[in-house]
Amino acid sequence: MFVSWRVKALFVGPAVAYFAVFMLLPVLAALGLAWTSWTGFDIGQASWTGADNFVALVHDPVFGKALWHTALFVLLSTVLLNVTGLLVAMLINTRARGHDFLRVAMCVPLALSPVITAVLWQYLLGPYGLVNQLLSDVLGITGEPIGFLGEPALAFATIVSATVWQYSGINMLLFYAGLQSLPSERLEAAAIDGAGWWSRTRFVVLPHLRPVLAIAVLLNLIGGWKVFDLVYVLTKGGPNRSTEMLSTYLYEQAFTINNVGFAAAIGCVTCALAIASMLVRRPLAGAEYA
Amino acid sequence: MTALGHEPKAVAPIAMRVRPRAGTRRAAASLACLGLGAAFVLPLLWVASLSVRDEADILSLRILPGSFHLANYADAFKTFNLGPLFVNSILITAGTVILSVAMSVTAAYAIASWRSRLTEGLFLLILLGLMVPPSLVITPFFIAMLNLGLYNSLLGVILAESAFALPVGILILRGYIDRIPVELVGAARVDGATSWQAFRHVVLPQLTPAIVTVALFITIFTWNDFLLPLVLLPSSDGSTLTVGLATSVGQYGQSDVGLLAAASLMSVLPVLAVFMAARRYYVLGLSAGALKQ
Repeated sequence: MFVSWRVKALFVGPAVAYFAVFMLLPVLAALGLAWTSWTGFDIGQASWTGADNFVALVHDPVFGKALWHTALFVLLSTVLLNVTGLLVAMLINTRARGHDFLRVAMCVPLALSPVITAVLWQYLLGPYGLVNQLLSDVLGITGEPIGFLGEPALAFATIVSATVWQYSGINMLLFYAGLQSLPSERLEAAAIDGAGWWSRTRFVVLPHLRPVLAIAVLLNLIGGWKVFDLVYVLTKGGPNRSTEMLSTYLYEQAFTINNVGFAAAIGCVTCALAIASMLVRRPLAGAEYA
Repeated sequence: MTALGHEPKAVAPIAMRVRPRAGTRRAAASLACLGLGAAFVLPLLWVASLSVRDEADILSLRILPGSFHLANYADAFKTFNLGPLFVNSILITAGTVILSVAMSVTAAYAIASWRSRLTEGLFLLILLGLMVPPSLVITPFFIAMLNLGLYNSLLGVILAESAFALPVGILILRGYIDRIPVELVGAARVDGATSWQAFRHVVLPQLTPAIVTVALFITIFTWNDFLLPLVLLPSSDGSTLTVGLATSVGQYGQSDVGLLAAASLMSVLPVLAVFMAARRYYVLGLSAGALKQ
């Protein structure tokens, strides 16, 4: 069917123009700013400094920490989100009584903002929180309240746990949809052949879910590198930078110290890591789906 | 475990005789479902219990509330000045949904129905927008809005949010449009309809579920977003609910626990209600956007 180029342009034009002005241009500007030294007030005062910002990144111990913490966060949360999502999807798929309640309950956190999640977890784990009350008053294990957000390792674990609590619903929904598309004859055939639960899971269910797993991991990785709100509200990167992430360090550099060029360099590294995450999809999905 | 007695089906005794462990296993699965489900709603229930306590009750270290102090909600509304924050969140969310849905529905239709190297290239380019961390572009946004006179305005936030919403909309809608038979549009064109008429009267009516899905995703994303309004709309009495709450946590988090708990719940309720009402569209969006890629 003939459609003139003018009609095509009218349909696709607004979105493309908008994307060019409000996404492409800012990204290019950020890529450019990373090669300058600028305090963010008068663009005339920006000066080209070449790769200085990137050299400074390499020598900056705080950036090293932020990079390591973010990578560890991305790895831990991706593994835990997928393990939790898969196990719960399989549990729900048994259609045992209460499976509908579990499915709805797991979706509730998906509607919340990470800021609210931070508030909820702060009140759950704080000095007057439910967990400390259970530990000290009811079970009598600890005398003093545990400062979950004051201890470096505990603060980091809290951020990972809150993330898994908030987003494992997405992984569960994806895996559950994948499980429902698995023909039951295949499982029955395996069972008749004498395969137990583990063998059926290992040789029938998991291979079937590989393409879904690839998508889920990709979503988790891309989301993980962007983590900001939860950390900013829960710990602000503390205590003593033990939960400092790339995004929180960038925010500090850009809007507290006005070190705009350096902040843009951090942003470039983050973006490169997010894009590089796409490489995991093909090997995870397996050859037949590539 | 005596939960076996709860098995409702008449076939249960036979199944039990054949495989004595099946019933126990089912009961264990039920128990796991209920326990895990409870764990997922527990943080919300705990904050709900804090939100109705008076100050002494919060310090009392009791698990269940000993008071029912609903005045917390009215006090929180006044203390944190939630009225204008609600209005701002609603306006920003509505503006972003309208702007990005309007642009993505026409673009997704064009990309899906006029296959060429150019449209495929544009599609992949726009999808790259999904990879961009908001923190990368927040400084250029800040500078641009300052120079355009849109800093600290609702419109500035709407324009920035829409840039991130657009790729989501195009991804989901394109996956959906691919499933609409092209012949319908061809038939309409043969009958003398213009491209726009064919789109408006043949394609658009079939897209309703996909548009609801996109609107749902963008509503949740925009209502909950933090970094963009934090930087672009920083005024203390005029930001969004999410930013206002995050600021209040720092100021009142330890002192006015009951009030802040009530404010948090109030800010969650609208989007949670929308999400629960349209939950099946969320699943649709996940499968259209992610699985069909």
